[in-house]
Amino acid sequence: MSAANALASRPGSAFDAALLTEAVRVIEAQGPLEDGQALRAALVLHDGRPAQVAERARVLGERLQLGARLQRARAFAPWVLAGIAALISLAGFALAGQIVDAGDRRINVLGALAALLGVHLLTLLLWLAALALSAAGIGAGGGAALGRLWLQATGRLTLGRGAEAGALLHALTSLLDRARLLPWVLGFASHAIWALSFAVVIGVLLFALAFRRYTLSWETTLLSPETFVAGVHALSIAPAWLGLPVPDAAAVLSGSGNAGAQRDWAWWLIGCVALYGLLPRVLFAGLCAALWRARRTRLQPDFDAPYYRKLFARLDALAPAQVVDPDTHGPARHGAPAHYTGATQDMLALIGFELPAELPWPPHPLPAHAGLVMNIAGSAAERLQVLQALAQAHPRTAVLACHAAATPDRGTERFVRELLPHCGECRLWLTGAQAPTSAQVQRWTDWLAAAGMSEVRCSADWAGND
Amino acid sequence: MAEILQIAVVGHTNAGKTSLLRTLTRHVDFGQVSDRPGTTRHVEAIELRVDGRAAVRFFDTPGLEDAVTLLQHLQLLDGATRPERVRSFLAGPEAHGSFEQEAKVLRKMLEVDAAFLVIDTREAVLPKFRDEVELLNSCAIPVLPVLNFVRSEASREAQWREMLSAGGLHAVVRFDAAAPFTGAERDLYHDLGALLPAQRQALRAVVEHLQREAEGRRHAGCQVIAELLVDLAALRHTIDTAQFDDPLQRARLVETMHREVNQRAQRAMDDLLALHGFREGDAAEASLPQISGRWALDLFNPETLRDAGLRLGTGAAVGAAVGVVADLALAGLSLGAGAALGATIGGALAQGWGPFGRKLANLARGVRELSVEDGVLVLTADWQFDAMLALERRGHAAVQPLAAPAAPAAVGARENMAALAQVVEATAPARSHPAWARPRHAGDSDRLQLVHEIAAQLDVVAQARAPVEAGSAG
Repeated sequence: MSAANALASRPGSAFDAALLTEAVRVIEAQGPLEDGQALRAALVLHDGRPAQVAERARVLGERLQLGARLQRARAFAPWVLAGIAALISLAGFALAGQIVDAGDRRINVLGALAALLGVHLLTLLLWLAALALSAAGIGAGGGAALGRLWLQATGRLTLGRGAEAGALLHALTSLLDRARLLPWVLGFASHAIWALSFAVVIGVLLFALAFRRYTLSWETTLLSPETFVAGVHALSIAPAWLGLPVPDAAAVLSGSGNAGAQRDWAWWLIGCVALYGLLPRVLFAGLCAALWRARRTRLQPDFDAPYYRKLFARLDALAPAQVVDPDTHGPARHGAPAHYTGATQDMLALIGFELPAELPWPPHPLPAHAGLVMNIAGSAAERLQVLQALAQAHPRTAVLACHAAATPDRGTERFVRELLPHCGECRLWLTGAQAPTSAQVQRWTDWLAAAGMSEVRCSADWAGND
Repeated sequence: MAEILQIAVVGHTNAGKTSLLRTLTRHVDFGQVSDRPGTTRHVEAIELRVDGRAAVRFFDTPGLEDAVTLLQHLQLLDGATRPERVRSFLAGPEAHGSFEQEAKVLRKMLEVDAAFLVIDTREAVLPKFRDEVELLNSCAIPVLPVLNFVRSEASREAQWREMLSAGGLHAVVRFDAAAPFTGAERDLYHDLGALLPAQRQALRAVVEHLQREAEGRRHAGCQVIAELLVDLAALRHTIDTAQFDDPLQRARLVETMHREVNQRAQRAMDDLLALHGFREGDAAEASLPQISGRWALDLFNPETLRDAGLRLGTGAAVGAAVGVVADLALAGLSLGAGAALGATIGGALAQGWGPFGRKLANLARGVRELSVEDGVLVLTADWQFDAMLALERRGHAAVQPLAAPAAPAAVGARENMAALAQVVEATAPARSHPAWARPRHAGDSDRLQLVHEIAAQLDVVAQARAPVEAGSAG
């Protein structure tokens, strides 16, 4: 039982995390769970995507009570294993009982041996064959029927009903399968069950043979005595190595014999059950446990699968953006623009501002009263030049030609503000290689309004500005 | 934890700073992107995560709008060096007055390791932009110009390059935030590494991570398509002959089947979107030229199927199957051993005798099966495949549709269809496992093995069409 405990790992371990993660994936194959809070919590708590996905699964699993089910299964699994072992022992005894003649307490030694070891050897061979086949890539690892029984029974008895139980079981097998551990874990369960039942059988045999008097003999209808001698001899080789008494050929042929020969027969029977029954099962269980130990780190969900990739993408998209230097002033923070109130000249000043070089300049035809025509790219010196010229001329109207496709910015705003005190009226003329769209005009108009300069009219139409 | 590399993203207003960051971090929701000037008014930080850990922290900054005046203002201030003058500006009253927005940018510039200067290359090269470069150079940190909108016809890339190198910025990266070039992201970090020798190692790790991510997304995308193909190949609706003979009932059954197939295809499309960091429903806005209009399209439109047949040509493997969609009532579906015996025999040869035997048995029991024809599978594969490749190349940026780039599909379309037809042929084993189409059997190991095989084949086809490159965004 402790072995089965060792197989299931400690609570909260990586194995649990992987199992819950995978179980949630199986559940979500039917449709996504609402996970907004779980995702955010995972993002805050953990670094590294697998850990974040596992945390999300833990939170969701709590809601679905996956963790509780898992705990229960873990607690019960060894008992289910023991129960199956008890059933197997009983079946073994029932078979052996056929051979024991209860009336005159005669035991047919070889018959008893065949009854005790037969099924065991057969299933062991099947398991080995399935292992060899699955190693060769044929078949999906059959064998270990008892192991499957254990898994199914544990699931059925402890996980409860519903999709969650099925998901946990499915997740377990798919994880084990992926880590190529499934045949070994199921194998471990099978071997543990057999080892337990052999321990019980040997105990009962020892007890019975120690405190009761049996006559051990052999009988046959079909086989010849020589066959028996050869058989007993072959079976005795291994017990002889261990120093167990071996019945000699004469004793075999004579059948029963004296008390010493009977004792030899009894020890031989027990030795054979231990060596051919218990020992291989314990060894194979040990091998399975060793493989589990070596490969348990492989128990990871397939994080390359689309399901996990999608989760990763969502996690990345959740990474919070922080405002580190907030906008404190808001958009509007300017006084009313200054205006020129003095006398103006009846003149139109046309100023190209930050226009692309390839635009034709000056526009044709120029209005007759266009007294001041300038085109500047917008450097500080040029701006100053324009402002000085306007300060001298004081035109009634200043038209600022702007590139309609450009984004209006605060540099432009500042320049318009600086123009206003030098002219009677200021207008924007939007121009470009193509005629400006109404959306572009609207964008500039909105911008002027937002900048608190609604009185500056803005138009794509040259005539509209005259 | 290693020091996080800090990068300010700066530029003139509306040059696409926030868009660039959306694409670099694959974060559809980051910030506010719009055509209005000065949409971003505060400094906002966002991290690029490598394996869930922050590796680069980007700062989205407000646009520089009044560099001309600010530069003049700086020259009035005290300070032996330019950074000192910037500092005394930041300490002065104007930093909270008329230059508040610029002050935020410059304050951040003094704190970070480097800056990306995002440039809308459609704009004319004006003195204000020269002054912006001058202003940024005053902060004495490496500045890497990122040329945005270089695909536009109005792009003035050459003039910009000339201006930038006159301003001392010689390393320049072309990066279209809405539709990045193949490998553009890799180039970006590589060139940044040239400016920041101390961080080269960290940046190489970022590039490797991006490459792994791109490969992972491709791989997962292929698996999504493979799952869909296997499911559709396995999908069966059994109906009895009486039901089928009644035209009304038959129409309803066929309709149900059509709907189910379309829904499954839609789900796979949503999965592809999610894999690339888009939300469901973003598809319509994602304005992918390769798949535009196909989003709501019916896979069973006879017109579309015939088109596919023509594109495929008669010589190709399943051309005949596509061409044989003559029974319009069934468009795209096969009916057991009945309807198109020729096609079924061909199919049975490909599928082994198992399903054929089952079909005969069904026929004897008076039960018939509706299944999806190979032609529809090829069509599905083609669309999903195009969508995947398009999503790989799609930035998370634009709010306006793209000007259609030269579609990679145009050249190899026929070869591509033929290759996909072969992939579809490989789904044949699924035809004998109707159970595989049900979610409960999604974990069957034989099914998974087939899915992985198909995904690997799709991977090969995809690799031939467009090798995975870190930097195709998405």
